[in-house]
Amino acid sequence: MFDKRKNNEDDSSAFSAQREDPRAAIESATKTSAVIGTKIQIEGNIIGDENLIIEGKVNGTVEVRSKDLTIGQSGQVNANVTARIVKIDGTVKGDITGLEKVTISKTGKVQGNIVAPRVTLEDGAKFKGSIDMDPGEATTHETPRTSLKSPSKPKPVSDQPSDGASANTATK
Amino acid sequence: MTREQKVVEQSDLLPLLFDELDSSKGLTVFDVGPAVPETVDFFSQFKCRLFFADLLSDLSAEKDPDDGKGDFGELLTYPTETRFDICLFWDFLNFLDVKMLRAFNLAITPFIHDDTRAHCYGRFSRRSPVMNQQFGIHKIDEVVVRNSNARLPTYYPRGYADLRDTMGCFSFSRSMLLREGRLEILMYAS
Repeated sequence: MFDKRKNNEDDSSAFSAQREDPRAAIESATKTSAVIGTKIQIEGNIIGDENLIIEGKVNGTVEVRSKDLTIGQSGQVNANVTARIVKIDGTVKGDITGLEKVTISKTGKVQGNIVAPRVTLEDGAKFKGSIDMDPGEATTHETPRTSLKSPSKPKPVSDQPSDGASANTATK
Repeated sequence: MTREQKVVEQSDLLPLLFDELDSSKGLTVFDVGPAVPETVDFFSQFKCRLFFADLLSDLSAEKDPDDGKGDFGELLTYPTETRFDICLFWDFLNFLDVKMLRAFNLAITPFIHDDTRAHCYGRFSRRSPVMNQQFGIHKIDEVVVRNSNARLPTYYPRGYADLRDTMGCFSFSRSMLLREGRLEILMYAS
């Protein structure tokens, strides 16, 4: 019984730790990441080997190949960026290379080209440009959810002359 | 559908876009609309290159309606070797007058190859209402439709014959009449 209560106390302390987690997670992230603050503007190339959070303005290039890059909500990046995992909550104009993954969150705005094994857009994310994905390059290999039939040249049905809908029109 | 809602619609023609398509070499897809999470997620299972042009927002941004005519060549600035396997026009063609339709057809033609397939929505009747919506691929046979509050350019409801006569780089294969007068059309490179 005591063990059970102890377990309950452990659960409640774990639960309150979870509730406090969002703030703790941010503080924890900034402790383990370099941060370019909101009032900082950098013109030039940034190369590093630690996690990076950009809340300010950067014009140039950003490269943290083996680490994670986060463009915070107030971050404005006019640069080509490369990182292991890229998360965009702010604005990026430039090409993005994610060696593992790129995520554009609901507050993110990106104009440029993305190359990554996997790209995710959250609802509300804004993106214009091209996305190059090759899931075969990802560390975890997933079989396609959709299988396509083996190829042979399709034969289009010849269209019927009409002023309105085609004679091939079916109704739903 | 409320402003925030999205609905998923069954599509009998969408799977035909992928019919007998060789995905092993990678798919190159042109989507005339803004990037939608479901489309990105759907194609993430393939090796692919997706081009999101968001042309409606470019058209809507022009202060003078005449500015946009014939300027698609400046908007579709892709590498010359690019060839689209699939083109998703959604309802974009219903916001182009005849001159712009022909200009768009000219601008997209260099990026089409013999096996290109395309999908678009027309209108069964000129009285069909304008709909401010964004589209994406949810599954191979499902389209996700969201209400949009984006600014729209002038509406030119396009019937099957209008589109067939102006989008000459495609031969029109099949069509399906959907609710609210929307006409789903499948096309192949001609």
